[in-house]
Amino acid sequence: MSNSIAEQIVLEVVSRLEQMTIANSYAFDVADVSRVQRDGSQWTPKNYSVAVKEVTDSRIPELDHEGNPPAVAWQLVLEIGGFIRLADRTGTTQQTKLNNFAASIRKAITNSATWMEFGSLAVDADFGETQLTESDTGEYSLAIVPLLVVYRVDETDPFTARQ
Amino acid sequence: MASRFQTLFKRTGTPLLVREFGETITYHPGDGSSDREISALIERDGPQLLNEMGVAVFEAIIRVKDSVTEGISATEIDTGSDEVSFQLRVGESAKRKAIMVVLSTVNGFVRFGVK
Repeated sequence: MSNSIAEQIVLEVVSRLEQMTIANSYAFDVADVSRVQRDGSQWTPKNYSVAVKEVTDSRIPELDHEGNPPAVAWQLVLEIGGFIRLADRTGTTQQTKLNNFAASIRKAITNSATWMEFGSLAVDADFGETQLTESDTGEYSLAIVPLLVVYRVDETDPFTARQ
Repeated sequence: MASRFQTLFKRTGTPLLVREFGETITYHPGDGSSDREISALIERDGPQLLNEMGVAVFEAIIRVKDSVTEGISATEIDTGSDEVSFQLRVGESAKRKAIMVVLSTVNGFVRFGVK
């Protein structure tokens, strides 16, 4: 069985974020794009790295469509975290880099006029409120960019996308 | 100015501890200069924690000689970009981890935390 529509959307988000390279006209090469996992041996905070976290996947009944079976609407909320590590005694603010990193993340996601459809998987998408924050002990800085994706699936088959 | 104890410990205690209990790790300077193998004392006792994004983070505390050849000097270490490779579990292949914080630079040791 193939992945659910929500999983396919997340994979597409990861794929788009991996396109943040100097060769693609960004100011940096993204160090890596990872997803939440419990194996801490696999992850280390690198400068210009990204972590993608799925927060919620909730129903939106007012966007359902008729049919047999009907198309039911869901809103998938992802948090895209961009990590910055400044060199010691750099003398500059990390917020400049975080602002530009968050903008680059939004640019990578909105990669075409039909970006919000994620290849016919979704019907709409938008960004939430960006947070600039620090780790508990200030070792790295973080821009968290929420991405909200609305998609429809068969009521009886969450693996089949509907428009 | 270093105390008499610090001077003596740096001269005798630090080399002895590194020789007796050290294991080989690789230091990767973030400034692009050459990697080097050094001896280090590693505490692997820390629990895995979840960071702000929910990603699990392995933590360890490492001590190396304060030296640009046999360890890492206190003046060269950079918590913005330096990394080290070492075995997270004894017997495993080495994993590359970021040097996140310098905890102390006394008695001939540089002590730092990695994630």
